[in-house]
Amino acid sequence: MSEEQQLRRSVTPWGSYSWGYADVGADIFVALGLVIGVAGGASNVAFLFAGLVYVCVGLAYTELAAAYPVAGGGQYFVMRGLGDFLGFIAGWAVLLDFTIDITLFAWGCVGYLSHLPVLGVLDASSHPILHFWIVLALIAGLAMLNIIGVRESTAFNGFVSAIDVFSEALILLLGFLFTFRPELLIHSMQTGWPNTFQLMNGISLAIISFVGLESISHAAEETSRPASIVPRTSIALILTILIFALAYSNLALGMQPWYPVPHDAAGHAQAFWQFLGTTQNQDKAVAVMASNIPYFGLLAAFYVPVFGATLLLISSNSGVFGSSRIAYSMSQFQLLPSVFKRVHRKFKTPVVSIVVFCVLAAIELIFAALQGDFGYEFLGDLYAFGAAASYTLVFIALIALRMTDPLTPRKFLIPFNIKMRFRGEEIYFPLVAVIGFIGIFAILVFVLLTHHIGRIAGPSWLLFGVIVYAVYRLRKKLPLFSSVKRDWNRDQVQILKNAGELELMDELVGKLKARDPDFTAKVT
Amino acid sequence: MRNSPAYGGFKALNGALFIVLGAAIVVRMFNTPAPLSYKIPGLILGAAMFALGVHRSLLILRARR
Repeated sequence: MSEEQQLRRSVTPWGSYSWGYADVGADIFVALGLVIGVAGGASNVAFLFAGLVYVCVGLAYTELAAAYPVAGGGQYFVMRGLGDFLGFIAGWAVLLDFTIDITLFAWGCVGYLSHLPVLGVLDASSHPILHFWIVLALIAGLAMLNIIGVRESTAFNGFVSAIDVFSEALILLLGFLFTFRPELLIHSMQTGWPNTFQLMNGISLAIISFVGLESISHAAEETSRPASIVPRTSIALILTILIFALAYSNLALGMQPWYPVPHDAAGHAQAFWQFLGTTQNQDKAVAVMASNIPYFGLLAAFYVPVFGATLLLISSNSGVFGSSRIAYSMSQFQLLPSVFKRVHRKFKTPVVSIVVFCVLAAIELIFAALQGDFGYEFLGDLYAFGAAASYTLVFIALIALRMTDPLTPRKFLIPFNIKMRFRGEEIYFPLVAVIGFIGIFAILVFVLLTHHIGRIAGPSWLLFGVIVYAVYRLRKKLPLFSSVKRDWNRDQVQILKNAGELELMDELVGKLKARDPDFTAKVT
Repeated sequence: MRNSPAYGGFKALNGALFIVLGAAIVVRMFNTPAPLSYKIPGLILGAAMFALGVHRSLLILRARR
């Protein structure tokens, strides 16, 4: 760790917030239509359930990213808490999410653009072949940009996030002011309530509106004094995203649209939320909603599609960037072959990782395109599987780290803990992590029960990864199910020093010396 | 860390808007004739908006003192 090149810590509190927001804030643009299409009148309940689980996940990431401010995110936390093998599984599940992220958000970007009257030919339902080639071209373009090292700056992220928070708040404010009818919301829930299977499916899809918390860890590595700043910005981020997801789903069900709702394909009248959930509108639901707000809709019909497409493109780019970064981190810890660490001679970017994961994203696009009208849902299925699998392991890792690494100073602790002793040390057992684990595990079960493709493709992805891992570790004569020996205490001292958390570093060194008087911390 | 007056003003306005919007949603949901179970998601949304608005406003007030 000490001899590796360090990232410059120049991200401000707003930069840290906007980095996360640029990733997670775009999710509602994708998830809203998908969830309404499946859960119908119970979409708001699906978002509420997933949102409560997300709060627990967010708190877990906040605590872990503040205590261990390194870019590996879930993969690093799980490896540190549960060992190399499970760390690999978590990282591999996150990689699935990042590659899906590339395809899903590029698809959504084209979907939002197709809502513009002049770009209607980009619609996936009416022109699937053109849509496929445009999405593929976007993925190839993002791969090229990442290879030559062009990445949106934190300042650009901050600018887009500020406009996004303002725009989403404006849509909600005007939507609730002009179009929201509580009696219509109740009516939609009463008449459109789904069966249990559909509700479980909707809840599992709703979790995708909260995916992207890895960005909290990515930002933590580049934030100075992360132990103080990360909790502050993360909690604001968690609350904003949660409220937006709940608000959009309730507004969609209780909205009296400005324009008459067209009849469905069979010629029957349909409610507005049913119109939003059709395969034609799933990939541009927020734009359709915004354009149905009286007066504001005239402007929103042009502005929201362009803005949504920009946000989704940034999110797609974060998939390319994030996958290469996670693969790089996994390679550093000997979980993946060192080829993933190889950087381009001229551009100094992880070219192998970028190419491999963009090719995987393109393969996923081909599979999605083969699903016809259900391609978008197919991508959502896989996205939900990857998120649920990695978050499940993160909760177990959080509990394990509280027990096995009680000395690392934690400036932020998830609330509601039970004080107890474990192996002679005083620890705080996190009740919220247990609740979160039950919630996210339930969502993982929902994914496996209700997603016909996710239940096969998701575990197949993990199985493929385990084979890659086993071949690599056996060839390198490294342990397969146990871990490579590492000195986590010294690493942690170095991490805190790099983060500028010198008081916390001194506190940790003091505790380590009290436990072992021979301990010497050699930091660079 | 101190915020600029413009940013503080923006956050204060934001907080006030969330309070008004949250309260309005809660009141309207309560007044809608329907079983309570159907009102819960709307009530939670309104309460969450209201709480976020209060939280932001308190932060601004604390920073100004």
